[in-house]
Amino acid sequence: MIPKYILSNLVEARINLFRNKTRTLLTSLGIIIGITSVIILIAITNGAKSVIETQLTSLGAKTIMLKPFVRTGSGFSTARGQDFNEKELNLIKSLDSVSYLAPIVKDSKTVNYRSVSQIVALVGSNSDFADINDWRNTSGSFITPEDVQDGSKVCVLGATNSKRFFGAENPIGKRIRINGIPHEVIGVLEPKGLTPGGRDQDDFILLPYSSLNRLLFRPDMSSIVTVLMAAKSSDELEYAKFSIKKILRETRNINGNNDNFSISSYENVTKKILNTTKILRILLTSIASISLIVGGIGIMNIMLVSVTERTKEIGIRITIGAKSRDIVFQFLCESALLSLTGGIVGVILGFIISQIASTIIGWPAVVSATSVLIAFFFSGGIGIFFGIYPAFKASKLDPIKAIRNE
Amino acid sequence: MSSSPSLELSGINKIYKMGQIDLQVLFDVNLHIYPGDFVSIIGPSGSGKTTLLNILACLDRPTSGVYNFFGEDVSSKTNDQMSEIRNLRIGFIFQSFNLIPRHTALENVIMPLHYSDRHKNSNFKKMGLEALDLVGLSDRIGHYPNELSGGQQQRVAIARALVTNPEIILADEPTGNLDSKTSDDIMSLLKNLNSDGKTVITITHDNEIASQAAEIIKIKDGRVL
Ligand SMILES: Nc1ncnc2c1ncn2[C@@H]1O[C@H](COP(=O)(O)OP(=O)(O)OP(=O)(O)O)[C@@H](O)[C@H]1O
Ligand SMILES: [Mg+2]
Repeated sequence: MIPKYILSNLVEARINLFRNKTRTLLTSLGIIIGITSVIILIAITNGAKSVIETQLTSLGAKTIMLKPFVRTGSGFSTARGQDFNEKELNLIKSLDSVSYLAPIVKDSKTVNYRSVSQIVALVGSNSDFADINDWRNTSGSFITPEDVQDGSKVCVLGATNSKRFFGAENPIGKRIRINGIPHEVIGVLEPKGLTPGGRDQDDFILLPYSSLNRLLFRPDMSSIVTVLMAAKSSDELEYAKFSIKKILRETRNINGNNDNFSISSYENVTKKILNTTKILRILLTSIASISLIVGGIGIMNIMLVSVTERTKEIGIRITIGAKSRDIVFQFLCESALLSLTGGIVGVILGFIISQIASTIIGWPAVVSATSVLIAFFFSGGIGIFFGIYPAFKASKLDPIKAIRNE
Repeated sequence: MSSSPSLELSGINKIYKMGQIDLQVLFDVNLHIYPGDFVSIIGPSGSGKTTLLNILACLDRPTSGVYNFFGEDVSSKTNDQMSEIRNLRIGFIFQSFNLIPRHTALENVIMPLHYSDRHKNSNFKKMGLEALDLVGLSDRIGHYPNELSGGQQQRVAIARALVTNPEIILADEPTGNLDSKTSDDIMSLLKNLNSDGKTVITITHDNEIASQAAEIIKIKDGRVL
């Protein structure tokens, strides 16, 4: 239980703050903005960390992505460069530092089984796809090199689609219609769940890329959007990337200035996230520290006003026996509560804004209990720190003069 | 009066420094107040009555002279020790009541208890109700000062002065803002307190009110006559 003395001071502080609601709100604005920034800052930093961690676990650390796209002049949009051909892919595949290679083609088409009909993301690839992305089957088998060679009408279901079309039924051996053409389900994948950004990783159907291209009457090579590769180990990642670039530049007879492909790895993505986080951190830290200081000064100012307004009351309290520490404590309670109120509003706003920001920047914002605790600690501390001077000023009032004050 | 004095002033001078000028308000005041006394201080406006009472109340310090409070020299006390004396041993009543407007009658009455280490574990509400009962205001405990008449406000103030059960009651023109009927009520309340054993010192302008006291101290131009 809170001791009676502290409780009565808190009640007193609450009465005074509620008496001037607008003033209380305006005064705590600086703290609100500051704490909001602190909460967003920690939420986004935590979120970025969790994205990076999930990417570096699994096979992400070894994955290389080769795309037939190039950045255009402005650097933000991309244009299609040169398609890969079989020879290039075979050369790359034969590199020592590259252990797996999976071309990826994509589309979405209507899929139906009995009465269920739904447009589903289709991914065309080969048997290496499972090794690069660490997919395992819960039942059935995976695409084989023969399936790719023959363009077999087979498919492997992501867990979401197994549930969507078959429910509790066993899908293996059943035929589903993809864009109207029956395909045999040969396997179901183990679910991976949502990405940290909230996308369902299991909502797709995998086919041999040759089959998907045939189904859509597309040429094989020009429909490739990505070639996924795994380096032999994460240590060889940079070397593998270097070798791939070298092969492509040599076969295409180009130099580094006019690459018509792009190559990246999650390391780059990680770097990009870290960079964005760094910029956000600098930005938010400066907003937070400036507004917390401004907020603190605002609190000091309003507490000084409050001391002046309540000079007579302070005089009465001292006359009936309040010691300096009693007056100091009373006013510190008030400034701390004022600041804490701002802190609470800031935590709520910070939570809301970081959720919105998370959908915009595409990685999760994690508002942790620790960050809420830090926010309370900070706002309370600021209230106390900036309340010290007004509180001492109040406690040093001469009761005789103070009591005559109207 | 055989016992030793509760309050003893010897050679008290009070000088206010007004820039370059020294304004002497009290001149060589000597005073002995004994336990159970009922004293009225009278004198013209500006004669130094309030200044004297503030010194007696341990609210102000004399420029020179010795003030013994129950045998102890007050000049050696710190401000916080003086606060403690006011809190536990002196009840102070003002002309303008000086209640805190945002608090109910009961809350005003128990306010001194919050500042007392001795009463840390006391039942504030019970003590407050007893004090309000003593001044006949048990039916107004939840009222705010602006919901009470002047006489009622002064009773609340008296209850506040009584709540820590001090041996001394000091009142600076307690009836100055009240009509004569209410004044009489307040004076008889103070008389009752005195007959219960409390030492009461009041300042008044009114000779008739002063005459109700056992002892009258006349003061003029800062000197006790
Ligand atoms: N803080 C102060 N600074 C300077 N002079 C003061 C101060 N307080 C009181 N005085 C002066 O001291 C004198 C005595 O004042 P005091 O208030 O004691 O008079 P009083 O007898 O109580 O008068 P009243 O009956 O009008 O209340 C007055 O001349 C007043 O101007
Ligand atoms: Mg006076």
